[in-house]
Amino acid sequence: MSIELKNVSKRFGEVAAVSNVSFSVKEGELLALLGPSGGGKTTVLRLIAGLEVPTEGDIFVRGQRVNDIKVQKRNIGFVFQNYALFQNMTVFKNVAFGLKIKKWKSADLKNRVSELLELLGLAELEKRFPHQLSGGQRQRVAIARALAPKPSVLLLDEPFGAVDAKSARTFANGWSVFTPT
Amino acid sequence: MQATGSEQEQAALTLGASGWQTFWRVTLPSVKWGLIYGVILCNARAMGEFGAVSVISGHITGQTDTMPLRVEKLYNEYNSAAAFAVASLLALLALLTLGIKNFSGMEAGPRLRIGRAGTAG
Repeated sequence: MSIELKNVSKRFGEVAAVSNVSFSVKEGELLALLGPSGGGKTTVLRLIAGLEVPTEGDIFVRGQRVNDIKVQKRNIGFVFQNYALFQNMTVFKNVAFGLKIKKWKSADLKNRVSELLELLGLAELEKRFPHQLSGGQRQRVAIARALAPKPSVLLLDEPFGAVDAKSARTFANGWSVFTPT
Repeated sequence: MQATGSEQEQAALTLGASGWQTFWRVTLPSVKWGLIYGVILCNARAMGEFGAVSVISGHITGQTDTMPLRVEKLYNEYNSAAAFAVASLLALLALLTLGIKNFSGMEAGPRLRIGRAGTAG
């Protein structure tokens, strides 16, 4: 059992963003949360990531209770709804950020970043800044950045929210590339 | 900074960066030019200060003088050459400040706009 939520609730003051949610995701499984706008989908992802602390309930990742584990230590990849790319860094540096923080050797870092950029069709764009990219390209950079440090959990918040239907389909079809086999 | 939001910082956290690392590598670089712009404007304001310094500090020569005060003093001592020299220096600094202000404003401007577009889109 890779991710498990048990009776998780999150309240912001009087507002209950998430109330009594329980579900589990198996290792290697791909799970999508569907629901109306404002339904708490983002909050659930943020809870799993550690960006929010649950008011009630427990979250387990690989059998370990992670409620009190800091976001930095959870080894998750998070793709934000608006991608949240680092505006002052090139595509290459964006993707390399997590590896730099984890103090990868520069040769390994270069290999890993190049491999991901190649895989996502961004190799030509590595010297560009986020504001010089299209929406779909930005999304792919965000995914590459989240994948670079080899996270054990990948969370995507509205991954197709800001790209056109065609890009979304191309992307959804290619998704199997990233799922562990 | 509020317009840019805190998503970039949160992204840095999910990638394992500590609070300090996030500040130095993400927050500070993105507000760098805006910060310089502010410092320059403040500096310009301080350099040209006359009234407050004159009334409050007692304008002691060589200790609590600003350049405009010095110009006034030299002028009152009929030392026109020195007064004009200091005034010219002040004008030169003003031009320099204007140059830096415009440059940092140009650098800060587009970045701030991108930040907003990024969070809106």
